[in-house]
Amino acid sequence: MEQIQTAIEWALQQSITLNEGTVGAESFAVTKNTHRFLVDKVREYFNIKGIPYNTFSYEDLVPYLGGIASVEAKPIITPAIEVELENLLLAEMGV
Amino acid sequence: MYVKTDPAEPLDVELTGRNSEVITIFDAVALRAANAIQYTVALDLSKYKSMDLIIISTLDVAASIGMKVDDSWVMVKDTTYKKWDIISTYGSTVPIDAGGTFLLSTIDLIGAPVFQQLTVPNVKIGIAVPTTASSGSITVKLVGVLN
Repeated sequence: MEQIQTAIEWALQQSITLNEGTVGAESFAVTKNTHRFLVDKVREYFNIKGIPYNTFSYEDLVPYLGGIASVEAKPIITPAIEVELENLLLAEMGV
Repeated sequence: MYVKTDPAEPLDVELTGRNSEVITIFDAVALRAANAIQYTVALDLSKYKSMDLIIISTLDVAASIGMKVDDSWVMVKDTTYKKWDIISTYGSTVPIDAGGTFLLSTIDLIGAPVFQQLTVPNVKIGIAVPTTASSGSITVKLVGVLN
């Protein structure tokens, strides 16, 4: 169902803030691995768009997740930065 | 009291805890219509001597959770402290407030007569909402302490 695919794609661009309004507030990106966040956001999308739906769970979304690229966190140190760091280190050592 | 000052000195390790396993029995179920109810498949609990349930609800309405053995609800006695207490007669379910995390502890499976006669997987756990839910979901994890 195209609407589910669109809802998942939308959900994967969202984030969820826990303990909002408190000092312990923390935001998390919705990913394929955050089952609860994903389901809650897909449901939110259905509500916003007025799409009727019945009870569903993460298991029902799994068949639609295969075609979606993983949105795992990218490494902070890229190969380019790594080379730059190495050069800086060598310069510091006088090599 | 002896205090370690050398970080290289190995720490004394005292093992505590129990040999247990965790199973997600409801994986983010977005319950919808009033009186909607979802059951697990029949579970084999004979390998556990006790179990706890961790319930994470983001539903906007109150829900309930219960356990069926041979299609009869088994009693949940202490709803005030959300503690399971199983007897072998018809009972009720545990209320789960809207939102929040709950721990249902501890089901002593060995001590409960209803479980002593189990020979096949015939335990089902069910979750339900009495009124229509419009947002959120419910996740339930079973922590079983192995025999």
